Amino acid sequence: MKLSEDQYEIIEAYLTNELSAADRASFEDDLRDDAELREEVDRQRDIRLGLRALGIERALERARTQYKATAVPDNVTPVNQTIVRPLVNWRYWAAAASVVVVLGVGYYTYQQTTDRQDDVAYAETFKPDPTDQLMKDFPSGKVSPETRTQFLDALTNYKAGKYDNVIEQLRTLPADKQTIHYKNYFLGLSYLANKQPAEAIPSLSKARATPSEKLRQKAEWFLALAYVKNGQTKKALPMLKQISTDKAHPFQSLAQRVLQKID
Amino acid sequence: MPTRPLPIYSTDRDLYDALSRRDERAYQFLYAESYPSFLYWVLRNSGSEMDAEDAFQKGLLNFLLNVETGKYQYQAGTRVTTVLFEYCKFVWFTELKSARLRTRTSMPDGIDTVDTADVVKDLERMDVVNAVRQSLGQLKDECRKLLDWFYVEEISLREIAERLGMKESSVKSKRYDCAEKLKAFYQQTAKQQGL
Repeated sequence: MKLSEDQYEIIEAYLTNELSAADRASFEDDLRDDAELREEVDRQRDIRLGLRALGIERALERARTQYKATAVPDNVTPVNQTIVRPLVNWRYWAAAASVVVVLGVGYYTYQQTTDRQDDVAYAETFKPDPTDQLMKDFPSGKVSPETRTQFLDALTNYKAGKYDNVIEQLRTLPADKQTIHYKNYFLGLSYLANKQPAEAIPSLSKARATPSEKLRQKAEWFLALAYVKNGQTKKALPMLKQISTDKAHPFQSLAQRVLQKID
Repeated sequence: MPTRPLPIYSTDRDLYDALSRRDERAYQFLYAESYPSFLYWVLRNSGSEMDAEDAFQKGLLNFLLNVETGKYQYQAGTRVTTVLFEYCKFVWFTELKSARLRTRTSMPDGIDTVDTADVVKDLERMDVVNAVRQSLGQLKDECRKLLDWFYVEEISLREIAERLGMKESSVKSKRYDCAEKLKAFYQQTAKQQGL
């Protein structure tokens, strides 16, 4: 239902209990008689609930940070008991989900702002990574707590869509053997989401040096797309051809689709 | 000895009221008051520190949503921290009972018999939250910033107008435009995810 500005303001006032008693009663009469309006109000209520939850999440993150900075847990000693299955930290989920958001932003932005053939190819094949794969990509084990915290801060900013901040954070992160390739990969993705394919290219190129085959394949694919988006078809073509002929490459079929559009 | 915020709420009614009016100090108080004991409990119930943090964040978020929406009402004689602790325990039970976990290893005794239906329903709201998060991220910077300031950070239209050097009436109209765009993305996402 497309709302007029007046309708929007009335629903806003209704949901925040700012209507007078008479106006509220009148609006509720309308609601009883109009199924479409009821559906719209439910939708607006859901959106506001979601936005409010995002606000609470941020406040809880601040509460967590304050707690960690000032409190020491009471004699918490891990017990010798089998761990059923450690859940991934909620921040990792948020981070992974945020990358999906980032890629989604890229998809829609590019889809809406261009109709060039290579951009059509880009838009049609730019799919987000599965979240579980992204989580598996995060370096584990020997990453220092300080570095991990810095990454998590950057990933939290991803969630908030603050790509400029993320880029700044990742750029200033000190080199670390464990995370350098992951950092380059995420920095490249950040630039891509921030509509800066030219800047994404060097980072994604470097990320291909990773010993992790999965991360390398992803870096290759997004690098090829960055070239496409940046209008450097000549550089994109050999990479896409290589990916499209590699049966083991997870982006083989997508590369073939891009080639059909631009080659 | 742990360093904790002073007990700034003399009664549970005060704490509940502070949570209802979104007082961030109350969130910090609840965190410091409840998390250590919840962590201790999760470590003794088949979980890790990360599990505890994850379940506590989810539990606290959904508990606060229940306070704000009126689903949870203050009950005289019932401590808010006790209710939150029980709620977070149910969140952890829900995680333990999920099929993904069940297939990996056997369940601790007794958990299958715990009824977590109510909490499961609350946690389903997270699908809506994530759809809104995704939709907000799809907006262009100008709209995302405006809606984030108004609805997430709860900054008044007047202050937003001052920040942007615009008239308040113009910001109000812009809010409408942006909210309609957000709704369009949300409807698209909700449809894709079957919400």
